[in-house]
Amino acid sequence: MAVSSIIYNTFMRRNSVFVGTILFGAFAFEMGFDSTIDKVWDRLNAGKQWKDIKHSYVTSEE
Amino acid sequence: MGKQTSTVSVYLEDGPLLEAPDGPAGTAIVHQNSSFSVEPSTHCIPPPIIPVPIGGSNSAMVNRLSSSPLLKRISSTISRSFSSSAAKESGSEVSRNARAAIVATVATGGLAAWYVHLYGNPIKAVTVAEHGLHPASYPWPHNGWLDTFDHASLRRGFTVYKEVCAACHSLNLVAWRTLVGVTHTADEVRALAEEYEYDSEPNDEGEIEKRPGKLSDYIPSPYPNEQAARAANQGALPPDLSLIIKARHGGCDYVFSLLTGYPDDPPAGASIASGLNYNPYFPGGGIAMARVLFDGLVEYDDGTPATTSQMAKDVTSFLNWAAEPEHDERKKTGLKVLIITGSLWAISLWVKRFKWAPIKTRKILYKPPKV
Amino acid sequence: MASRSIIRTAQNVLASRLGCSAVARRASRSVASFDQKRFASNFYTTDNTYKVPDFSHYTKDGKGDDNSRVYSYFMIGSLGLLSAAGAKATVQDFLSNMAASADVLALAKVEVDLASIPEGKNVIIKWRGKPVFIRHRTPHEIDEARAVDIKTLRDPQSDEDRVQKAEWLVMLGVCTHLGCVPIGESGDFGGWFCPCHGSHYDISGRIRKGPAPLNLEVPEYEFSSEESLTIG
Repeated sequence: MAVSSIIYNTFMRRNSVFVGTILFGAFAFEMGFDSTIDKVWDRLNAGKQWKDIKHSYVTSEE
Repeated sequence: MGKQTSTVSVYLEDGPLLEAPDGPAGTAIVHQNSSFSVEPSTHCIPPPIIPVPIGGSNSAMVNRLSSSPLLKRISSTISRSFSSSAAKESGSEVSRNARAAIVATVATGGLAAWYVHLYGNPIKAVTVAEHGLHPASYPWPHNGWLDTFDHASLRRGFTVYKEVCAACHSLNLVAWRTLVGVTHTADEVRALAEEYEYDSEPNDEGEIEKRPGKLSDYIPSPYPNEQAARAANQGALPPDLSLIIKARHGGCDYVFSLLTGYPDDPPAGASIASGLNYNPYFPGGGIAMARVLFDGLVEYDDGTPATTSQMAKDVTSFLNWAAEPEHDERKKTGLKVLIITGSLWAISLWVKRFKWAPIKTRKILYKPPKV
Repeated sequence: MASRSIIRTAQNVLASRLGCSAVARRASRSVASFDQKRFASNFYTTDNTYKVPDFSHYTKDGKGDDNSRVYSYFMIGSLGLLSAAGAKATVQDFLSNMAASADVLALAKVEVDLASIPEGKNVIIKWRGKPVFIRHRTPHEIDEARAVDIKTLRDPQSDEDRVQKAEWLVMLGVCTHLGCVPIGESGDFGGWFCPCHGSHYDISGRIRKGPAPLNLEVPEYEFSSEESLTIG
């Protein structure tokens, strides 16, 4: 298949490139994963966290 | 061997115990050198039977053991299952195994019941009343695996602590700065801290002056030391509340129940020492702290009606935060860790199968050399 | 006694077994001869054992093409990726453990209320165990500090580089020579004078005379509002 051949030849043919892709991907994954979990977390706990009630105190007193 | 249909009967003292079609393979018969072993006695010639004196050897031990009816049964079962290991299982063989399983289960259950009968009900030194009433389980907003604290409730709870609890209870492990971004803004906390006076560093004359509190200061305690606290409370020491949720069985449920559990009058028959108040949730029933929360005692700045149970809930949540300030972050990290380790586990299963596939499907050939 | 009787009954059992049926005997004989040819095996096959069996039933379709290869590498790469991300987070957590804790950081900043310092006055406050000089300079002092030709200085530094707001001079009150605390509003240059070895600093805290090699150090600070200063 064309797509898989491109992927194979780009990232997996040389071990150094493969390992590099994995390490770079780990950083990218961590950023994406963290922000995704943050979003899910904020949706699960909507209205309960400090950032949800902060506005009523910051604006009223300053 | 599987084709054999001859019958083996094991006779013990009290007549035929087991009877099944079986090969002549292993038997429960005690003969020299192999009491339980499987002997492929295809020649149909009995092994020599040598009466062994008691205490003489291994088989004699077995003899002795066999005098117990239960063990007789078990030992026959063992030899039976040995002998049938290579044989094709027949219907009655299954029922024999089932019977053995029943016997083993009954024996195990009986032993367990006997143990429970002996040790399962320790004598309790205190009655339930003396131990304190078990608190009900309340649906706290932060109960679930993925639930944070309700920070609006924490803010109200701090109000309750500051205006009610702080009169007697310290909160030694909580610094003002920790409230920032949890219940209050930095400016609000600064203003709160400045309401209290702290000792400053010695000045040029070596005297210690008073200065207003700063964010880095800890919430001051109402009494300078334990003796002063006891003296002001008829000998009872109001415990520090920093870790009280972790330090009491039942945690939030207990503290909430205690705060809301003061009856108007102690029940008939309850004897309370003078100076103590009746609370069924407190071990012993007599607690030095009187009921402190009454409807409308504090005024919440978010307009929530300050009922007794509302205040109890809020202050309990706040104290839980004080005991576990890492709570929200901990649960979030836990979610991440579970997802990552779960994925790693699943992928590692796949990789294991991947790596083993060629090993499991290969065949090793021996090619004899051509002579 | 009981055991003896068991043995005796066992003998009886065997005796009765000796007369076991001819069918059984024949059967056992046939089994015996069968066993001598080969050991009993559950995996016995009549197929030719020299032929490599056909494993295509077990192998994936399209074995060896890029699709399957990319899939396998992707799975193994994912394992490595997740492990690397987890390892990075773990190492990071352990390292951040060595950073200053929150209570230390909270003490590391000092807030100063500037409204209480009148023009032309010095204030000494303590910050991380060291004295910090804060001077509310007059316009005349600012002009004086900026009129100096910095080429003539031992440690050339313009006054603009040493202050954030011209009227507020903030610096560590530790002499750069041997660490004494200089005295304010004294010395030959209207600034600070170190009594230990006679170093003279000017109104911008620069070394002008004496053994000290460097100007007085300026700490990190910021004006958190018009009237307050945060050092640290």
